[in-house]
This record gives sequence, structure tokens and C-alpha cells, in this order.
Amino acid sequence: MIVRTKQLKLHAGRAAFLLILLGLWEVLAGQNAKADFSISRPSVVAKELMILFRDLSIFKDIGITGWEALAGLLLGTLIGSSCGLITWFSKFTSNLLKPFVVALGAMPVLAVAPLMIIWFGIGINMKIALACLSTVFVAYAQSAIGVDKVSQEYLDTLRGMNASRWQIFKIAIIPGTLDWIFGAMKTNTGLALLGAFIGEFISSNQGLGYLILRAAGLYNVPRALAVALLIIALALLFDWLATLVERKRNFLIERLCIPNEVWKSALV
Amino acid sequence: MCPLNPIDTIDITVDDLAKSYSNGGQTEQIFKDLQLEIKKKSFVAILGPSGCGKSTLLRLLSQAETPDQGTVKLNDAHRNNRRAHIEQKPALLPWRTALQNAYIGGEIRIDQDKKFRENYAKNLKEAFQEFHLKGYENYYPSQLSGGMQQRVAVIRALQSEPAILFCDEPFSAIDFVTRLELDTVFKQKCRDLTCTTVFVTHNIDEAIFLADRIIVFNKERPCRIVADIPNPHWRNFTDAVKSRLTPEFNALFEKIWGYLQ
Repeated sequence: MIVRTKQLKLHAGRAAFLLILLGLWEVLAGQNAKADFSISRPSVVAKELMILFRDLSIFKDIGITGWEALAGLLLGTLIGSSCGLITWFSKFTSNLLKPFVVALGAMPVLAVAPLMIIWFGIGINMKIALACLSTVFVAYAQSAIGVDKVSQEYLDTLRGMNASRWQIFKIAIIPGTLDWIFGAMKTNTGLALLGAFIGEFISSNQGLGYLILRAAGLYNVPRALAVALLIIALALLFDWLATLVERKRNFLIERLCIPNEVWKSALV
Repeated sequence: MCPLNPIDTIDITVDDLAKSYSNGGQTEQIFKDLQLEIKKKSFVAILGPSGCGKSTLLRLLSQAETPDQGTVKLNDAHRNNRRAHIEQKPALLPWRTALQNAYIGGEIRIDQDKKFRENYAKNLKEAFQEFHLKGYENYYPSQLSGGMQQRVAVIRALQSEPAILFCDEPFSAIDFVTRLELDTVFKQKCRDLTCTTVFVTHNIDEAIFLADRIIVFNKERPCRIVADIPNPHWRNFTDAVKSRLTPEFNALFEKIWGYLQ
């Protein structure tokens, strides 16, 4: 009961904070024409949002940016985590390659963005590549840490049963690192969107990045802000999806890493 | 006593074993000139005070560590090199249910076909019943008590039908009542399996009930065998509680207690 009232208070507080912020913005921006022009007002942004949704093409733009980020995220996670996981097989090789990976990871994605045009053209592939590049190093680093953190106890137990290296990898290392991989994926949702976005900023004729770029070019501040809101919504959607996948973790492990005769026998 | 063909009746041979650890510049000689033979299908308890080197000996026997001198020979080559361990901590994988954890022993047997693995899963369910875990098959380790987790670890080890079983104080973290129950079931199961078992413990009661041979170590450096006691009543002890009340049990207890002083 007490917990519930506390929760209620928290939500009410958040709503009040948002309303005060929007109210202040609305009132202060209305005071002066210059301010109104440069930061717009919440009511105008809301109206602009409605205008955007009146035209169905906005869904296409959301879908394109979403797809670029999602494909980049999945690709980056897959490549990064796989590389991170196989570091378990050779500590020496992974230490040898470490400084090179750190150096590559430290490079700003924007710096290689023009190169991406040369390699992947100006289409959707270039944006996916940028989103992938933005996420792959975090995925690698986190899964490599996760591999190290798998409890020695589990490995000793499996070794005591004469399990091969590959079996230990399959039974303990992959599932034991999954939490880290999911954690990295959650951090990466934002980075993947940013990567897709940078791609659209450099060269595009569709997508949310393109819409913002064009709106800003036309000094249409309300529209730029409205599209920014859509991007926030997209980021929240990704985060929610990642949480959903994370919650199904044990189920995923069961179906992917455990021979089916066991979990099938448990169902009978 | 001398067997006709020692290869077939001796499972573990320790010859002239020496082991020392360096501890901050000082070397501590734990074992020196240790001789030991363990017969096939016997249940040997290694008894001694805490810190005397029991666990070290077990690690040497299971070849997790290499001796400085001498040899440890395991005669399990003809049985596919199958060994199992039960440690103090159950070390169950938290993302697997109890049943899936216990199944690992079958899962790593890639030399076997699918039929074997299906049977393995079926037999597991019976084992869960024997260890009073029926209904808990699909629980995750975090939902089980410490005693239950350890029982799952015991099933995991025994179900793989090991040729040699190494136990390092497996029930030391379990409350007394559960431990008595567990001892009874464990002994029954080990007798059915006929594997060679080396069981390290500091609990005299447990050693007398479970083992057919009790080897007592002291705490000196290097650590020596002070007594090697056969347990002739081993077959008669079937219930951990009832056997404790018999005079034979008490006589053995007194004898061992004398050696530990």
C-alpha cells in the first residue's frame, strides 16, 4: 500500500514537472517574437506534429530511420558480441589485439562517415554501416568483459566432468555472457540511432534525419522539434524492445543452448 | 591380499607423492613420500582436521594439480575416463532449471546418440524423486534452498555414472537434519552405481556411515596417514540415523577420535 502511494506520488511529480516545464516554455517564448521564432512553443510543436501525421509518408520516414538503426544495431551486436565471445578461446590473442581495438573504437564515427559513402554508396546500406560501426565496439568490449566474469566455479565444474573447450563455451560462456550482451544492446540503441542519423545528415532524401535537416534549412523550428520528438519516441521504443528480449533471456537460452530433449522432457 | 592382477582391482595408485606450496618465501611441505592404493568400487573417506591438506590431496588425485614428485595413477582409461566431482558449493548454472543443470552430465557425452540422451533425461526424473526433489525440476537454482541445490549437484554427478567420484566435503554447508537424509540416499545410490569414491570430510560420523575404509590424516607438516581403518559394518549401515545408535558405530567413532587427538 505504502509502495503504491509512493509510486503514485512519483508519477504525479513527474507529470507536474513536465507540465511546469512546458508551461514556462509556452509563456516565456510567447513574450518575444525573436524567442518565439528560434525556440518555438509547445502548442505550435504539437500542431506541427499533427500536421506531420496527416500525411502518411511520415510513417515511411520513421520506418526507414528505424530500420537503419535496428539493422545496424543487430549487425553490430552480432559481430561485436561474437568477437567478444571468442576472446575466451585465447587470452593471448585477445590481449594482443586489445590496443588496436581500443584505437579503432576511439575513432569518432563522423570521421569515417564520408568514407562510408565511397564504400557503401549513398543509400540505406551506408546508414546501416554507420549504425553498425557506432555499436560494434561497445558490444565487443562489454561481451569481452562478460566472458571474463563468468564464474570460475562453473568452468571448474564442467572441466571436472571432462567437458571439452567447445562444450564449456556452449554451456557456460555463451549463456553466462548473455546479460552483458543485452546490457550493451540497451546502451547501443541510442548509439545506433545516432549512427543512422549521422548517415542521413551526410546524404539522404528520406528518413527522420532528412526531415530535420530540411526543416532546419527552411528555418521551420516547430517541425524540426516535432521530428526530434519522434526520434525520442523511436529510441524509447527500441529500449522497450530490448527490455522485452532481456526478459525472455532464460527462454532464449533454453531454446538456443540446451539440447531439446531436456526441456521437452520437462514439459511432459 | 595381494591381487593376481593389480591393474584390474586397484583404481587409484599414489606412489611416493610429494607436494609443497610456497607461502610468502616459506615453502610448506604438505605431503612427502605418500603411498596410497585405492581399490576399485571402494568408498574411501579421507578424514582429518581442517587445513591438514585433505582438499589438496583430492585435487592431486583428480589430477587438477600435479605433484612435485611421485605419481598419481588413475586406472579409469578403460571406462572412458569418466570422473565426477561434488564440491562444497553446488555451482549450478543460474540460467538453467534444476533438471537442465542435472542434465549437463549427459549433455557432454557426445560419444552417445540421441537415444542415450533421451533415456538420460528420463532417468533424471526418477533420480529427482529419490532425492526428494520431485516437483522442483523446473525451478531455477535461485528459487531452491542450499540443501536442494546441493542435491541437484549430487544428481548431476551421480547420474553421469562415473567410474571415479571425487567428493570434497559436499554436505558440509547443509543443516544437520537434511544432511542425515542426504547421507542415506547418497549411500544407497553410490552402492547401486558401484563407482570408486573418494570422500573428503572432517565429520567422523559421516565417514563411518558412508565409507568402507577410513583414512585418517593429521595436521603435521608434512601431513601423514595416522590410521587406515577398514569399516566391516559398512554393509549393515543403511540408515544414517539408525546406524548412529549401534554399538559398532560408537566403537569405530571412539577409535577414530583417539587417532585425531
